Formats: sequence, C-alpha cells, structure tokens
Amino acid sequence: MKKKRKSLNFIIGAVLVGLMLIMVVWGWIKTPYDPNAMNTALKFARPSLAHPFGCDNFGRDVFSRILQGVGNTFIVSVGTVAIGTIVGILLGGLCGYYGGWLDEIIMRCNDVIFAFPSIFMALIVISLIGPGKYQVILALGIAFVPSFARLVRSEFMKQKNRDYCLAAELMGASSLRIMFVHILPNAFPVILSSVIIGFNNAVIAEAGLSYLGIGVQPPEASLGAMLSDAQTFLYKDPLLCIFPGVVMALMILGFALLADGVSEDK
Amino acid sequence: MKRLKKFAFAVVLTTLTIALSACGSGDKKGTASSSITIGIPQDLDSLDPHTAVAAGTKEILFNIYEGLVKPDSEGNLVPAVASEVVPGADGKTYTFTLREGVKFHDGSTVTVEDVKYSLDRCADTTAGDPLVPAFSNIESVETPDDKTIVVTLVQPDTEFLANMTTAIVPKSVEDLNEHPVGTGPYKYVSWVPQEEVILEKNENYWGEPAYIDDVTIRIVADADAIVTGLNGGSIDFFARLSSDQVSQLSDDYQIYEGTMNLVQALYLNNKVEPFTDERVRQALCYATDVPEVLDLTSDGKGSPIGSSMFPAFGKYYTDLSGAYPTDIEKAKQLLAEAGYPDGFTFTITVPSNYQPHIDTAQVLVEQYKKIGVTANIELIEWDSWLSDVYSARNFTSTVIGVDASNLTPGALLSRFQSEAGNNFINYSNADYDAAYAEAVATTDDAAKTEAYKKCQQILSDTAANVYIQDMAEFVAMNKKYTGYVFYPLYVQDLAKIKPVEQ
Repeated sequence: MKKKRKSLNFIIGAVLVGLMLIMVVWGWIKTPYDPNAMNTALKFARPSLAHPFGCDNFGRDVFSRILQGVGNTFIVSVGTVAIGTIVGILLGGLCGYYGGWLDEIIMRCNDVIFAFPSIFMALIVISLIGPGKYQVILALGIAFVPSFARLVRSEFMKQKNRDYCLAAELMGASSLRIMFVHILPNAFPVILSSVIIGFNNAVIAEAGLSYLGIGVQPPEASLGAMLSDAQTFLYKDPLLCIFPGVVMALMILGFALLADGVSEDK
Repeated sequence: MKRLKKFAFAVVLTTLTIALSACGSGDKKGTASSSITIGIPQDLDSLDPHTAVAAGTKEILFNIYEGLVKPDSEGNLVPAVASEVVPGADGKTYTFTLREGVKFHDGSTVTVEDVKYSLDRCADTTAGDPLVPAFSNIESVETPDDKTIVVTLVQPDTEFLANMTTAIVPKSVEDLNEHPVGTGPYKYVSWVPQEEVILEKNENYWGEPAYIDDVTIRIVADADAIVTGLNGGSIDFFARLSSDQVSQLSDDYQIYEGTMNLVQALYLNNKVEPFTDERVRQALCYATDVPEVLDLTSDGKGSPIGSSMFPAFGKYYTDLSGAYPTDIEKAKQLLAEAGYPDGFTFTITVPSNYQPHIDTAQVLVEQYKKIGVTANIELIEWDSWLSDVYSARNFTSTVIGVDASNLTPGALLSRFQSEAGNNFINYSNADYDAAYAEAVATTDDAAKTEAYKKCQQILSDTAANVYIQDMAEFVAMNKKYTGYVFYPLYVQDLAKIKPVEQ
C-alpha cells in the first residue's frame, strides 16, 4: 500500500464543495420558484414544505434565492480567481524566469497594488467602472493578481536552475516552451492549493462587496447581498440571516478543508 | 493565572457597568419630566439658519430660530417675530409690524434693524445667488419707524409670505455657526460634531413656552443602532422610522403614524429614448400596481399619489392617484402603438443609502416584467446621484422622493417648467408652462388654485413620471412623553412635546 489514503479533511472538504457545486448547477438549470417573484401573502413566511427556507420581506422564496445567490457568488469567485491566476502566472512566470529590470519594474508595481487591502483596491476599480456582477469580477481579479504573481515568480525562480530546465535549454527548447511546458507543471501543486485558498478569499470579498451594495445589483441575489438585506430584520426574522450565512460558512469551510487536504497529500 | 486575571477583570468590569447603569437610571427618574433625548440620523451641516442646506438640519433649527412668520401644524403661516402682516393689494408690498418685547436668546430685544439685517443678508447677491433664492425678487426692505418693516417686491407674488419664515437673527452676532442666537422656544447650549447637540428651554419666549427643559439631540448614523438605542432606553424619540424598524420596538413606545411629505416616483428622463414617447410613459404607469408596492415595501402604509404634489398641500392638492389603474393589456397595447411590441430594457438608478427607494425599485422591476419590459437596477452613492442624476441629468430613470421647501405649490411644481434649472427630468410641455405662468401671475386665489390644479392634471395626463406615493413615516416616542405633532413640512416641533403627568 504505497498510496496514502486521502485525509479526512480532504473528504469532508470534497463533500461540501460537491454539495455546493450541485446547488450551483441546480440554480442554473431551474430553481423551485422564480427567485425574484414577489408575493404579498408570503411576506416573512416561516419554513414549510413548499418553502423549505421560508420567504423574505418581499415574499420571495429564500431557498430559490440561495440557489441563485450561490451561483452568482460562484461565478464571481471563479472569474476572479481565473483572472488572478492567468495574469499572475504570466507576470510571475516572466519575472521569475527572466529576472533583471523587467522583474524589478513588474514586481515593484505589484508591491504598490499589494500595499492596498484587496477590498479597497476593488473599491477603487469599481468607482472607475461602475457597479455590477462583471465589473466586480474584473475589480477583484485585478486585486488578486499580485499575490498570485508573487507566488508564481518565486516558484519559477526556484525551478529554473534545476537540472531538467538546463537540460531542456541544452536541447534547444525556447524560453516560452521551458516556462510553460516544463516549469509550470512542476509548479502546479503549489499553485493549486493557493488557487483554492484564493477562491475562498474571493467568496468572502464578493460577499463583502455585495454587502456594501456594489456587487451583484438587486433584485438578483448573492449571498452577501442577502445577508445585507436580512440585517434589517435581524430581530424580526433571524432565519433570513441564518440560512445564507450558514451556506456561505459551509462553502468557505469546504474549500478551506479541501485546500488543507491537497497540501497534506503532497 | 492569566485566566484568573481575566476573570477578575471581567467581574470588576461587570460590577462597574452595573454601578454605572444603576446610577444612570436613578438619575433619569429624578429628571425624567424635564429632559428628553432625541435621535437624529445625521449630523447638522451648520448652525447658521441661512447657510444650512440639509433638511435634517433645518428640522432641528426650527426650534431655535423663527422668522417674521412661521408655519403651524396645519401648514398655515402664523405671525411670529412680527405680530401682524398686511399684504399690499397689488401683491408687491408686505408690511410687517414687529411684535413687542420679543427677545433674542442673548437677552437683547429684537429691533427692526435686526430684521432688516437678516432679510438683507439672505437677499445679498454679491456672492452670486442669494441665500434664499426667492429673495432675488426683493426690491427693498425699509423700516419707516421702529415697529414697521416694509418689504417691496420687483414682481407681484401673492405667495411671497411663505419665504418670510426666514430666520431673524441679531445684527450684533458675527458668526452664527459658533454662537447661534435666535428667538425660538429653545436655545442652543453646545454641539459636539458627530455626537450630540444640546438645547435648553428659552424662559423668555414670547409665545407658549416649551414644556421640557433640556433636550439632548444625539446623532445615530447607523440604522440598526437606532432600534437598539430605542429598546435600550438611551433614546426617547426618533422620527422617520420604517415600518420594519417600528415592528421591532418594545412596548415602551408610542408610535405616531404620518406621512413623509414627499413625492416618491419613478422619475423618467423625458429626453432619453424611449421615454420621449408619452405612450411609453403611460404604459409604465398602467403597468405599475401602487397598492402592491405599498403592501410589499411598507405593509400597505403610505398615500398613493398621481401627480407632483402630496395631500398636505390642502386646497391646492388634487387627488389623481386613480388616473392610471393597473391595466396590463392597456399597457401592452400602448407599448405596441409606440413601436415596442416586445418591450424594451432600461436602467433605474437608485441611491444606495435609501433602502425604501431600493425596495420600491425592486418591486417595479418585477411588475414591468409582466409587460415585457426589462428594468435593471443600478445602485450609486448619494453624492454620485446628486452630481450625475440630479445635476448632470445623465440618467434614464430613478426612484427618489422630492420634498417641498415650503408650502407654496411652486416649491414642487416650478421645477417642471421647460427652462427650470432644477428640471432634472427634462420635462417640456408648452401647456404646462402656460398654466404655471398663469398660476404665478394671477392674484385671484380661486383662479390661482385652479391653475395649479391644471398643472398637476397636465403632469398626470402626459405621464411625466410614474407617481407612486407619499411615503409613510413612523415616529417613536417613549410613553413617558406625549404631545407629538406632525407638520406638513420637514420640521420637528420639540416645544409641543410634554412629559406625561405621573
């Protein structure tokens, strides 16, 4: 038995993330009710068989809204991490492999962006391009680039002096080929676990921006926006806060455990 | 060891808090009859009544300063610093007799010099527009003797008296922001910015004096802290609560229900496609189910309105709320006639700090889906709303409430003249301009009222905007006090509040 068994963390994380993915796909295909349909008779309805999570202040089905909200949160997070990773790998790879003045310039710019908290950075971008789902992806994506770039750079610097790189160079491989065909796969495990952690941070950042009212625009749902709306009714109907809150907490927990599991496995 | 220390600290802290709160409540019992703590949602922008602009500031300054006349709770103008007003027959002159023995808070007696100084200060055009825009119509302020003030106008205006609520301040005080001195039932004691303003009763008030001696006005910016503050007993009074906030209050509070005195509507930019077409605007009106909006956003509270005026205007107000009953078929038909059989897409810009307007917009989005129209909400900050939407008119539609600075119909209707500087919806209608000009020019009261009603009718007929409601307002006051009075304007009359007899 050479192969180590997967850790418990990994299993729990994978189950939670799997559940979340099911919710996302479910929300995309069909929600039980139109998540935006209002109904006067169902204002603040308690959970029931017809409405498992109850209804909100407009009589909208909370479960349907959570399905839509998880989907929106997921899209924003995936988009954010995708931008952060791709741009980060390009910049970090170039800097790490070539070094020199190019490295100096890009990394110092990186430091400047890194100096701002990512939410603040996103706020600056939002104030320039306006609020909305896709704007938030771009804004958070930009804010996420520096941390990925830095990580990839150090990984590339470590790898480029290894024997296999020198060998490839002697074989006449081009720099680009060495960077992306030889080094990248070797740096992959490190990048993967930080992508998962980055995904978590993106979920939290998206919730934060939506909470401030500049993420997904109403009446569309996102977990952060649902929490923000529910805050007014904290005393009257605490369930409105609890359901989206618990779903968000489980989502983050799932990815955190998964990241843990991935790094333990190495 | 560390844990023990922590525990000891916690014990000390708890006993300290208990001691403090015990002391606090004991204190309160003794003086409950003569003091009150009021919460307001934002800080004051100035203590100078002539330069303050925020409605939230003016409602507080109402208690410190008075004009020659002041509004009462019915919306009538009653003499204040002046004891008598005689309007000239031609609508061009107003003669005021100074009330005898009115004293400023600093003890000096009000003279005609002070009155002339106050009015001249507001009419001064050396720095651009006068502080009170309507004062550009003043030709002269004269004081023939030490009891009489004569205000002469350039153009006749029979409603000019409404502007004479402008505060009378002493000529001797240079910086009113530092040393506010007025003639009102309360006088200023201190102001800690972002924290609190303290007022005390004016013992020498010329009229019916205030009941409560000390008033603390506490600034509570966070909407959720308001409910906590009221339930915890640190605030006795708060105006302009939402029905949701009210539903979370304890039984210690008496809830007064009134209206906010503003025109909430989906304001449409009449110069942006497709709202250039009257039929499209009417289609939206037919598609809007106002009772449903009220049910969903405020438990059905609020007064539906059908034009740019709210019921507090009394005889000038004409109820047009039934002009566009909800009729989806009619709306679709109008859209088809206008060339949009499959509907269209537009944006509703809403300031992100006004949850009631956001809620209304969300309901509208759902209602317009029924006629195939897709509305997207865009939330922007209040400052951006003021600059982009209100000033630059760079918007398609917006949900907002427009209030009136005084109870003359012009305060609400003048903005819809084609050339008006504050006509942010770019409304342009020759009939309207004519009707409004007639209303201003005529001195006959019946004809004037009729003309103003015609203005409202035109706004409704041409569906200038999708009119929704005069929003419900809830005031919570601790049951230890009574006597709250609603005004048809944005003011809080603290002098009428009195402690309940024990």
